[in-house]
Amino acid sequence: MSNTPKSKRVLAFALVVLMLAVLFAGCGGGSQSTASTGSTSTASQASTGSSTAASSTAAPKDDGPATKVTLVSMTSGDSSAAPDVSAEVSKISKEKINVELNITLINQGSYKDQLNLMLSSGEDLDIFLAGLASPLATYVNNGQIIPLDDLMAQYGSSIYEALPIEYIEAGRVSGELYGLATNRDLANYYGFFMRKDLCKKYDIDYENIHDLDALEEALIKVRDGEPGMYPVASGSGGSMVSSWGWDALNDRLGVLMNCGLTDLNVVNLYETDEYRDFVTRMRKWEQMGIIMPDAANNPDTAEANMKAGKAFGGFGHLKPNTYLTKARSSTHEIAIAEIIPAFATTSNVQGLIWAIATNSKAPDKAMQMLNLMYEDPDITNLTIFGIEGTHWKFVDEANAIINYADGVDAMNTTYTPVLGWMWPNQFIGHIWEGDEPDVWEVLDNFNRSANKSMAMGFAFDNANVKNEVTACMSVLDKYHNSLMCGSIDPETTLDQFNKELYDAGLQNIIDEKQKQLDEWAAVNKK
Amino acid sequence: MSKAGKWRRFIPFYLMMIPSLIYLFINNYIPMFGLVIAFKNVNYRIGILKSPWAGLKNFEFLFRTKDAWTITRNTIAYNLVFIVLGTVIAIAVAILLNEISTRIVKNVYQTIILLPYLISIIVVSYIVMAFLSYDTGFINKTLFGAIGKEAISWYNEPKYWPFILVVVYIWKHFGYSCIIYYATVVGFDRGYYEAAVIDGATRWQSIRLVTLPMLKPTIITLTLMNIGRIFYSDFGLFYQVPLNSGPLIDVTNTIDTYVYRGLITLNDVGMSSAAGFYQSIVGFILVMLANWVVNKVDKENALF
Repeated sequence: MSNTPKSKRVLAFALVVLMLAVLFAGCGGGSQSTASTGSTSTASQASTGSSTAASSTAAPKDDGPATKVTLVSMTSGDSSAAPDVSAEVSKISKEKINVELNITLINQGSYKDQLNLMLSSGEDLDIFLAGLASPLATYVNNGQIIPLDDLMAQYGSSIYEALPIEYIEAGRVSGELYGLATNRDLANYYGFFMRKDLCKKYDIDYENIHDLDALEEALIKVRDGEPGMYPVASGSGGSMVSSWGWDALNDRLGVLMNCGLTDLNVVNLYETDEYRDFVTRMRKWEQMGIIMPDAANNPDTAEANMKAGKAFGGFGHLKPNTYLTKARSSTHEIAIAEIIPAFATTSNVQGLIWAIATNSKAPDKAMQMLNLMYEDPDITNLTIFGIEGTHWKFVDEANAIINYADGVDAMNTTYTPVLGWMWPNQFIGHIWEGDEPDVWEVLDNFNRSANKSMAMGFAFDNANVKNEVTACMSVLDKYHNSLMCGSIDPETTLDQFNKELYDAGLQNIIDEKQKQLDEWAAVNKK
Repeated sequence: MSKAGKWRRFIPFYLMMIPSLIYLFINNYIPMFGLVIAFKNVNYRIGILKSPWAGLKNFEFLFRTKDAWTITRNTIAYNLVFIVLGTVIAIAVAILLNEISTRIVKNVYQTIILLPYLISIIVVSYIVMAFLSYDTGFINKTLFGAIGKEAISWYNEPKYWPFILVVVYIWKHFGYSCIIYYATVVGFDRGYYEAAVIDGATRWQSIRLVTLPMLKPTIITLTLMNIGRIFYSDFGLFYQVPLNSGPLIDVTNTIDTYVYRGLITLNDVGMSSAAGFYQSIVGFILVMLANWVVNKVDKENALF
């Protein structure tokens, strides 16, 4: 070794370092970019502050140049025509409230990351769709969104008309209104969806299945009659069903049982008889060959397995037109057994909610724009479906039924129209061909008539128990899905599960949650 | 040569260094400001600098539960195995590659070896699933079916996973370091080998006594670099490949997956920065330690 020329060794070393630099450049990228955006945000924060002051004095007179409002939301396909749509919307909004709207649509998969980057880097951003991956309270704690009470009182009249008051109230965090729910299925019922053709074949009276015993009988018929088909498929990521009659109170760590209808007693879900019964039944089904193998690690949706002819049905959170949406994704006619009647919780409502960013330079205009979006059918149709003639056309104008424009289909459209439920008020928009003509009335009635959890309007702020929540999440990942899918035996694991949760600090979370809930109840006289 | 003259002679080199120094400064040093986030309770409304200090509170979640031991053990143990096995296999293959004399065959092997490194970990997780799926997987259906062995529920049996993860990691990653070693080996002066042959050395002897000693600086450098990242884990490998399976968590939970699981809902930049801070500090200390050891044993080959 010592006889290698020194210069050569230096060269070799330099080469190695260079190659490693290339290798690590990719890995380092993530953390560096967050750090650097952090540094820019402080600078722009200061500038936002000063310009807010400037614009608020200019706001009252509406005859000046139009205020620019930027809206960020998501899409699930090609929406490259968003600038054209923005221009069309702006024509209306300029005339009505002197606002020029700029719509930025981000693809579903990267929405959370890009949105966080925009929020923390101080980019121009006024209105955005929040609540998808982070709870609304997180945005509040991070100081990323502003309270809306005053703005609502001043500019929110149409929103009060469009949304039932309970659902507006459910946008509160620590007493202040921070988000406005999109008008969609704001409540859910829970049950089992399955192939209608097989229900007929095996004489399954699905409309009268209201408990798991009756469902079990039906599933046994399918298991015996259809070898090669799993009667029950789990959802993607191995989740069997998101709730079975409990109000998760944001994070499933401390919940209200019986859909939150009886009392405001925060309990540990995983110790309740209801949970034990459900997972014990799932274990039994797994042993009986009713649940698909490896259910807890299944990467596909139940509908995908139904489409492939491998599954009969699956559990789900459901709404009145589920039979249509699931029929489209599974390519089979769908029958539904309703087991847990519809109820609404804060978590449901805050899952998709519009908020105004702290970055907003003209919060009052942003609020007016939101109000207009809840009120104006033309804007609703533009934002959901795109431009008439370019993206969609009337099939039946009298009933406002539409479909893709000539020569346009799901594959080549430049404005993907499938996420209507994430826009403020799809109930005042057109109806896509194939949906029931009265779909919006039905959904609206469903929302209004659904049971409301007693804790509806309460949002848990976990700032004081972050360490415990982090630790508990890991424990949940270890046991919950596997138990719900029957992959592990509750007899031997349920106690261990609860022990690990308490070791991770579950009691502190429950105590904190109960304390906040009691305070909330006192203020709201529940 | 006088001192000033020496300095003048190097001026062009210093000039050439400037662009990369600027790059390093902008890309690697300025962002270090972000370290402050780990000690802050960040509130975007008032900005990072004005946000209240949190002391060491952001770090607590990494240490307070009994998971702390599991995740630290997993991260370090897996990485140690990866470093040792990865290095041995990469060197062995690099030397073997060098022994192949047909050019085309050599290129084909090189490509095949590097290919897994370029595959996305998500795709890898599906490839692994094609082997391990309970009812349709290759191992259960074809292999065990043929010899009449009972199917194993792979994703529910933690005991197999340390081996599976090591195999997958080595398969995916050894190609890259193998290429580095190979490039170094190719650069060796053929004269040494000719001299060795004349002295009557066998092939094995010339590998052991000529190639390996000359590879030592590269091995030490690469290993030191890997030690610096011993507290990081390949997130995709530990989260995607086991399909986030609950029963496997005790053997697949590492610092990165723990942080991800906990913070995906909290979305707390302070806590995630704290985790990154902790990882890099420990990595830094370990590199210094390892380098110190190398310095004691073999001063010539130390990194600095």
